[in-house]
Amino acid sequence: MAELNRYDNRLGVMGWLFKGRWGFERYLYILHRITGLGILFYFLMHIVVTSLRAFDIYLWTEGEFFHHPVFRFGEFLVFAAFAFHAFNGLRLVFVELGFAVGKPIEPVYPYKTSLTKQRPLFVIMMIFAFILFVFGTYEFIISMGKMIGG
Amino acid sequence: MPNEKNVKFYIRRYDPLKDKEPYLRSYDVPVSKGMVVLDALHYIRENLDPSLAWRYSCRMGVCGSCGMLINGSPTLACNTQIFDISETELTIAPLPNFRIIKDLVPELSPMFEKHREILPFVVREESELDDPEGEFYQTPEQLEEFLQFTFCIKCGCCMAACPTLATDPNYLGPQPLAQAHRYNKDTRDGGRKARNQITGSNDGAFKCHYAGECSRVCPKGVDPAKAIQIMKRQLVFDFLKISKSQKPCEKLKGPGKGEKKDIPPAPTYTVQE
Amino acid sequence: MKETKYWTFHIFAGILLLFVLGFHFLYTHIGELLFKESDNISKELSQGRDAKTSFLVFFIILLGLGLYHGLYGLKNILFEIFSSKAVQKIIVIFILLLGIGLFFFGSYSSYLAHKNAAAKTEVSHAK
Repeated sequence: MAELNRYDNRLGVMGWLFKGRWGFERYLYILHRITGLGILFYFLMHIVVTSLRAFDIYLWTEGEFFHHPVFRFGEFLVFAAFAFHAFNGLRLVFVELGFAVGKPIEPVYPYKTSLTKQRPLFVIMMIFAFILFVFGTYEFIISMGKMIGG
Repeated sequence: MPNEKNVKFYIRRYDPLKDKEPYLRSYDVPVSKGMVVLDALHYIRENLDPSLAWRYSCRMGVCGSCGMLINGSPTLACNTQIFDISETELTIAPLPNFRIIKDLVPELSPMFEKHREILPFVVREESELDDPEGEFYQTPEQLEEFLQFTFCIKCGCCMAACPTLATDPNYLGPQPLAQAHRYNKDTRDGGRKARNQITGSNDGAFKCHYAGECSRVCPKGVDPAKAIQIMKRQLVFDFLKISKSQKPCEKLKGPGKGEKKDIPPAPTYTVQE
Repeated sequence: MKETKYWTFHIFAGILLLFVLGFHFLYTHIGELLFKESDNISKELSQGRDAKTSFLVFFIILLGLGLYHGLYGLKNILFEIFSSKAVQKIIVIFILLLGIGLFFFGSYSSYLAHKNAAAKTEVSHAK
């Protein structure tokens, strides 16, 4: 008998976010990745730019590009990403080391999962992240005000 | 909730002999209160389209054969009430992240192969085979450490929901990893060191990032994500050499011969002879 | 078990970064609230920091932790997307080269900047 075709039904990268009715933690996990990549991209650029000071090139004081409002807004976004990534990461440290998922229980319908167990921790962490974010926003508004006001 | 209503079923069809790609086909099914998705599939095959293929066996959430993607969420067709999800239309597709054999039949063998890889049995010294007498002593508390994870029926819903498996076929996946943890935690078992080589490898537990999907969809409340996170702690502690050494428990050699450790006495008779 | 080692370092680097990067942000980039001075990145202040050995050590620690944590995370994501062993080998080589290269470039530049700034402060003190 000839070998029958099998259709590869793997969801692919789009399946990380779409192609199903997914839960809340999945979106957090994607946001954690996106913010992480954003911070990494900025960090690599930051290393190169700041390293040039060894050759007496201070791009961030001289270059116009780094004072452009669009770039400043980009930096503000990086800070917002940092606030989320840091505190969500702290939640993940607790969760992924098994400290915030609870003990094994007898599965009785309706089932309680570790997801509900760790959600208060998420709320606490997001409050911290929000406070840090407010800090950054205040700083951003002040510095933009100074820039526009001269 | 209505007593009876026509519901439109969109079913993802694929015939390996004819089709290059799966496609959606719709069927009108008269649904009455209490019908599960499996009943509707039977109705379609008996009255509308005899060529529809799917896998099922026990019809009561025990065998784990009828896992499918129902309205975007992997679950068992036999214990999903139609009116609980929708009163107008329903989309049914085969479990994603597995290859499709036909229509709603996924090829589950990669999951079983990975399951076999993690030594899913109690590992003991070979020498015990020469002396098979005796029984193991385990307290209820020790049992509770892994009892939840023993309810897995290998339906593959967790594997279908896992975002890492959506792109990475090498990842072991929630089902095998949760079972690895189930045996690691068993006090009779001595195979943790060997399992750590597999679960702590590049394709093991560290590819789980706690999207929590497996625990959310598990139709038996097994909570694989919980098992994997606790296993990660064990792996890290084993690496840092700060975990308690766990020797597999000794055997009790027949009544009165072995060591009895505070075994509670049997309750008194309630019926007098 | 190699992956267990790498992942453990990744987690510890993450926890340390929370403090190290947090301090870096507060000291260098969010001065407005704490020091009433947003221009913490002017050339003079920057050179003043460079002159201190403690800041040189701090920069190198920040650089190492950040690069390890970030690039390990990137490796994880890429490994999940590209499952072929050959491609994964290329990814590892690329990330190792990038990480080690940037670490040495950044550390050496910080050291040079430290040397230059220290020499300048000595001259100004001598004057």
